[in-house]
Amino acid sequence: MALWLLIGVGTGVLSAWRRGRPTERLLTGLTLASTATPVFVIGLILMIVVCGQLELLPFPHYVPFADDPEQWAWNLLLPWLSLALVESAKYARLTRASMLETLAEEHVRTFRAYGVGERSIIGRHALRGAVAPLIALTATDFGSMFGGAVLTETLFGLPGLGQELVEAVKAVDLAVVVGMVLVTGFFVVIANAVADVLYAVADRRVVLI
Amino acid sequence: MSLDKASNEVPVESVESVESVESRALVEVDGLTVAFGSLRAVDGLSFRLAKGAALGLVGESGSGKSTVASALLGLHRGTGAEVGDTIRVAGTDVQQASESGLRRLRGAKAAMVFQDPLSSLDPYYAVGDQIAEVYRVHTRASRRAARARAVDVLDRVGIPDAVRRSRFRPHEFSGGMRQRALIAMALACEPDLLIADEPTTALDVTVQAQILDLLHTLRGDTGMGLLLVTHDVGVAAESVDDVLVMRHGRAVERGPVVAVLGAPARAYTRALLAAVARVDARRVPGDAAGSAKVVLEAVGLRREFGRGKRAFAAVDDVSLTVRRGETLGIVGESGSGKTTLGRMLVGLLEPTAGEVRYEGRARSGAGPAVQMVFQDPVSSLNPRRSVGESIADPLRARGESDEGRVRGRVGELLERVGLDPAHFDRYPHEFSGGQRQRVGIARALAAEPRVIVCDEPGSALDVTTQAQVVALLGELQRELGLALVFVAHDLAVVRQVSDRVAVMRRGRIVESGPADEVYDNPRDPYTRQLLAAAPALDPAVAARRRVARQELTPA
Repeated sequence: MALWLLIGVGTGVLSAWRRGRPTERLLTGLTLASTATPVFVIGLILMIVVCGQLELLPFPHYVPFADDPEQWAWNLLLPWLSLALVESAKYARLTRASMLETLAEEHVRTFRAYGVGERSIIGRHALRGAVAPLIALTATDFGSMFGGAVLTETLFGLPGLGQELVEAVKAVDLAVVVGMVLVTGFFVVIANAVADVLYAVADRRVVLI
Repeated sequence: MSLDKASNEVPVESVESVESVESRALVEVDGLTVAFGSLRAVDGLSFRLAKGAALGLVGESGSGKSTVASALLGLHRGTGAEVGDTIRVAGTDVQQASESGLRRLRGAKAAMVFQDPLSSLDPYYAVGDQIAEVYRVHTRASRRAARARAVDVLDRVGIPDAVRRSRFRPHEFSGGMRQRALIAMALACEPDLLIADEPTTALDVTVQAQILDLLHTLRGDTGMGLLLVTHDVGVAAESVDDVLVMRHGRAVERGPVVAVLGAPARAYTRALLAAVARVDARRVPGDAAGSAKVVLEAVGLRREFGRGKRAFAAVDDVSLTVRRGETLGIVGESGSGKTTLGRMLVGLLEPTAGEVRYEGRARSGAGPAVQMVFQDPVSSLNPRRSVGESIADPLRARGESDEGRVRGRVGELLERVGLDPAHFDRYPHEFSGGQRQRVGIARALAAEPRVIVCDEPGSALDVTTQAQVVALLGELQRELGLALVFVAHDLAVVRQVSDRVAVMRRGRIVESGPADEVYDNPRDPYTRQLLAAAPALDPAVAARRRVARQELTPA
């Protein structure tokens, strides 16, 4: 989660900054490609390249956190990375769009006219305008994430909620399916409620009633 | 100084003689040209501004005056505009300077105050922090020192309780306070030149007067130069020593403000001056007899917004009558409830208490008999429908289904408001602001109303266009026997059109009566304050009013 926010927002900022230059074209191409690619393709490619060809990591197999935290993290690195790559593309595009919108606004012109450097205009003023939509998107994703990343878990053979759900559906185990739906729904609602509060913190013009 | 300096080649000598200007000029612009593609926004403009002097750039929208202001700070870099020939500001050659050289100029030596104070400040940061940020860019001050400096300048521009207010965000400030905050930001680094681009256009008259007085005082105290860009000749008359009248990117006339405004040499300047509505000009009395039948009547109107503790009455116990063929002017500042009142008269808003009577009968909801012309001609027309369709709406709403008749009637209406009937299929963005307002008037006329409520019909337009729109309304009134309710914050415009005037403040009518009586012998102190705030065209009168204002303003 943190990983994909970092990659996504970073890419977005960079492409808003380098608008119209080759850097931006390259980044836009990459984000487009990664939204268009399903997670299982990216996951497979990552596994083949990193584990098969380069042999940097062993093929991931799940080690419970309680047994060995270090091994646990290493083995989950690939699933995290593949999820992050796909999801971050959304964030990159959103960040870029809202930053460009803010950059066209008049208060940005004010700070330019007062000799404030481009770096702090991008970092302080333009990025700030992108915070609110990012919160909204993060909230929905965060909620659904607790319901399990079905494809990724299946692909990497992880015993997560998503895989549990798939098994339950296969076995027509209704009680489990209902439970899973409830849990997911619960987290989506909670995440959105938290987002609404954060919204008011990020933008003081929003008044909570 | 003689007045024959109107040609483009002769630069204006502000107050100094020609020789000394060379070394001491704060701004030197020589043959400035700014082109966007094939459009030349500024075309061979030259002027000089000596240290501590004040120059006003006056012109209608599209004359290129704001473009000049931005070019002085090199803000056109990277926008595709081509800027030609030299601009020197406070010793920096704006064309040749490096990015960092330009940044050193911006804010530190020449600071700009923008038109719209709400959108010109970052909504996410406290006002004091924004000023401190600018200050820290140009000095090596610590965070703490910069913050203290921000409070200092906020205090300097007359914001009460500056320490606390500096932590407010822009939306917590009123319009006037925001403009003061922007001026404070400009003052933070003690610049030699202040460029003010329409600094008061978004403000009420009384606030406008306060801001202009503030600029005047600051100029006296700090000795900085002022370049004031405005479309309002009255604003220029109040605040500068010299004016330069611009049109189509060229200088039309220039010289000391007394000479240019007192005895304009060019026809264009005269036309510009004639378009300015004057508070002291009496209206040619209309033929509306005071005994004509009452068409619209409001009795004890009250409207509240919000619930519980947050409830407040935008309009509170207002009663008025409008007679056939007469114009009732309603003046007030923003927040006085005049727009809410207008909407209730039309039936767009239900009153909380009281009633609106049309020809003696109580009515509720909107109907064809009372129509409205809105303030903003841009947002009150659907951008995705052709203007013909928009005007046809009221006709169709009344059950007209014959396409040919609808088109014919819309054509007549377009012609009636001075537009080409062939423009039926054009879209709003293809029209200028004044033309769009005409479309709005045509749409109101389509319903064949007896009363039209005009909510600030000219305030989004520049002076000459506003004068045309106001003239059109007067003409329609005479020909069609319409009753007009004219809601505006501009006292002069209201006087020009109204038979009777009502002055509103905080939801109540504080004074009403025949226009000349209210303007010549105002009884209510608030009316007097409003009248004192109106800009005067004659600099001498302006100076007298400034003194009068200081006496009237409650401490």
